[in-house]
Amino acid sequence: MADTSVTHTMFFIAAVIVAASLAGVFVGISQDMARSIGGEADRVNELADSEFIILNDPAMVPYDDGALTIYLKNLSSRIMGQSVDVFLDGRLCTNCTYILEGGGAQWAPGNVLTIDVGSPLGPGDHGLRVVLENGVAQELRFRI
Amino acid sequence: MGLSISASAAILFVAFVVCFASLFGAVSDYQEAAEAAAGMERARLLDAASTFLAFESVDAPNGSFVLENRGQTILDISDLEVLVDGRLIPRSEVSMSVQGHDGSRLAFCGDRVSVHTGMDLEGCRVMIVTYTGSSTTYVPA
Repeated sequence: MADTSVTHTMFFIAAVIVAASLAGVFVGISQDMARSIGGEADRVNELADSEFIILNDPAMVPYDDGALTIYLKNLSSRIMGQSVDVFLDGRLCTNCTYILEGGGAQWAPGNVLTIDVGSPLGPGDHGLRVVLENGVAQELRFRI
Repeated sequence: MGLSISASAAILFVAFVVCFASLFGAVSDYQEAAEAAAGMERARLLDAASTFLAFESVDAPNGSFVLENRGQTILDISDLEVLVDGRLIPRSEVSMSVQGHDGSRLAFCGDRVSVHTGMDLEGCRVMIVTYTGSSTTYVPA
């Protein structure tokens, strides 16, 4: 009788330990999944609110002394960083000067970010692609 | 034996309820975010499609011109950008007013907006860009 009781107790403890371990694993995995889904929701929100336009007149983009001037306007409702990548004819431009309207270091909604891109360009058609840090991009085809 | 199975089942049931609650909340949040994003995109496209600004007259020597809001959107004239020969003119150097509504910054459908740049626009190409991203260009003859 005492042996049966001990066996049952051992079975009970083992069953509870196994069930609790499985429960812990399931809860942990579901929490991870919930976190990643939440992160994705934040990313979708950020992408939707990262609207900007290239203001330039494609027929007359300012190009003086080897420097192309680009005007970008923040159309979103949030402040964006000025870490903007510029690709000219498919090549990443590293010689860029960023000037924010009204100074400061943050690109506020409705403000214009002026970028002077130092790059030798010949006369003819060119392509410009501006990419924000979150991957939102705008393109402009222009002529010099 | 029966008690062991019952206890294990109870523990696993509680775990499944917790998992379901956290996943359901996250998926629901994601769906709301996706719907909000799609709604914003639709609203933007609709705004851009229904925005139409046109040059009504240009007084190039005096650097003035009149625009007419021929679209369905209400335009805030503070958000208009002026480019002359491709160069952006700072807002501080451009004065704008809605004709017949002094002091108002809103141009409704059919309203005319007087713009004065203070520079000679003879032979210059002038481009106006609205907040929705749509633009209109004056090309000198």
